[in-house]
Amino acid sequence: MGSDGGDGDFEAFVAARGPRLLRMAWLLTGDRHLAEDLLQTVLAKVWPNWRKIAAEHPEAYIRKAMVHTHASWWRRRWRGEVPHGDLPDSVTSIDAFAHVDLEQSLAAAIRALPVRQRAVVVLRYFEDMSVEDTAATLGCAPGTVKSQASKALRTLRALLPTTMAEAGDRRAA
Amino acid sequence: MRHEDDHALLEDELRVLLERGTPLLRAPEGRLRQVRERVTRRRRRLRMAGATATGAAALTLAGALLLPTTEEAQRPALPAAPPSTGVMAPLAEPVSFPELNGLTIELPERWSALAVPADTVHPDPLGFLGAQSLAPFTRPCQLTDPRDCAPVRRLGRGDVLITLSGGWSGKQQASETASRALSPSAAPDEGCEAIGGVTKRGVALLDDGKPNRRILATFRVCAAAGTTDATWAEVQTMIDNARLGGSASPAPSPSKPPSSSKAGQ
Repeated sequence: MGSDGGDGDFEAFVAARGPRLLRMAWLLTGDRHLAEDLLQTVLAKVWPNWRKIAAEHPEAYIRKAMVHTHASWWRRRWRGEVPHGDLPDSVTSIDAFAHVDLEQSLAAAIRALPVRQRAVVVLRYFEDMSVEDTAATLGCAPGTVKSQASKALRTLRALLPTTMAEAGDRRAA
Repeated sequence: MRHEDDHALLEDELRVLLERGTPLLRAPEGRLRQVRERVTRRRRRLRMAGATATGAAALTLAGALLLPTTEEAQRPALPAAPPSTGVMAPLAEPVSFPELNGLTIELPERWSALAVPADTVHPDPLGFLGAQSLAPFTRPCQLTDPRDCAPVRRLGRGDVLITLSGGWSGKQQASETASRALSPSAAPDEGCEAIGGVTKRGVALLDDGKPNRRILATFRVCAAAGTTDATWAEVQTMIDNARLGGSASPAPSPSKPPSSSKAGQ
């Protein structure tokens, strides 16, 4: 499949869901270039089997693949590496300046989390998945998701005390 | 109650923060073209690996049939094809892992090898070396990283399990050492701990390109309590003698890929 048919569906899916998936990849990696590389890596795995994957829950499948692929990179000490040289330079922020401080702070805080806690944060609080769905995606018990989420929250609160409080104020307002 | 309220508040704050703080990134030009190119490169690599494995197997078979030496005649017969349980009996010869850049290992007599091919769920191929029989996919694996799903239920005292993985497109920073010496002992990760490991060590084989070197293969060693210096020496010797390419027999692989049921923990 993929090159044998169904390209239109695949392209439409990437066009529609790509931006959200790329933001998720950014949260997992804390880096713009690695985020695009992660998404492309997963799309390349998905595309040859797109017809089969699209028949079920393609976005859930891709989210799961992104989490596992990122965990795999992490295990291989990808953290200290530079991405492949032929990555495009055109990954730019729409609003490059207004949120730069917040983006940098968030990236630094997210990168400080262990990879599993990071995955829990992204799935639970960015993708707004339930504890049960997060557990199913990560292949662990719901209790593990809760404990990892609590630890992550404590860490993020310590690293981003002002930012999180501001976020709460903004929401209340 | 107060604690739960605080927790819920924190969760809400984090949701807002993630939504606000995560940048809106534009897709690069030609993203889909790059995705297709990755698929094409991968297919080409797999085809080449398959051809290499077939050729190597044919050469090995021809050698065994046409040139039997006295030494070979005296050597115990190699085990037949793995039984339906998937248990891999020990080998006594160099083995190669065609899907891991043709990584070839000089396997000590009592060691076993197992190749786990790529599939759609776990697209990264893996190899395993162990000083015990390797019996993959006995029950579902619940670990986050599929690479942690080991083909042994439990390491015996003094046992080690080596997980092999291939290189990737990223490049190691120039400051990384090119030495083949194993890293110092570290605490076991989740997968190592799950099979009773108490120590983890590892090393990556790098190519000679500068200033950045590509990683060609990685060895992750999980060791149980009581691992002897002799076993560590065997491990280091295998790493020292590991090479890419060569015409060794491909390591046995399970008849059933790991997509439907993963390795036992």
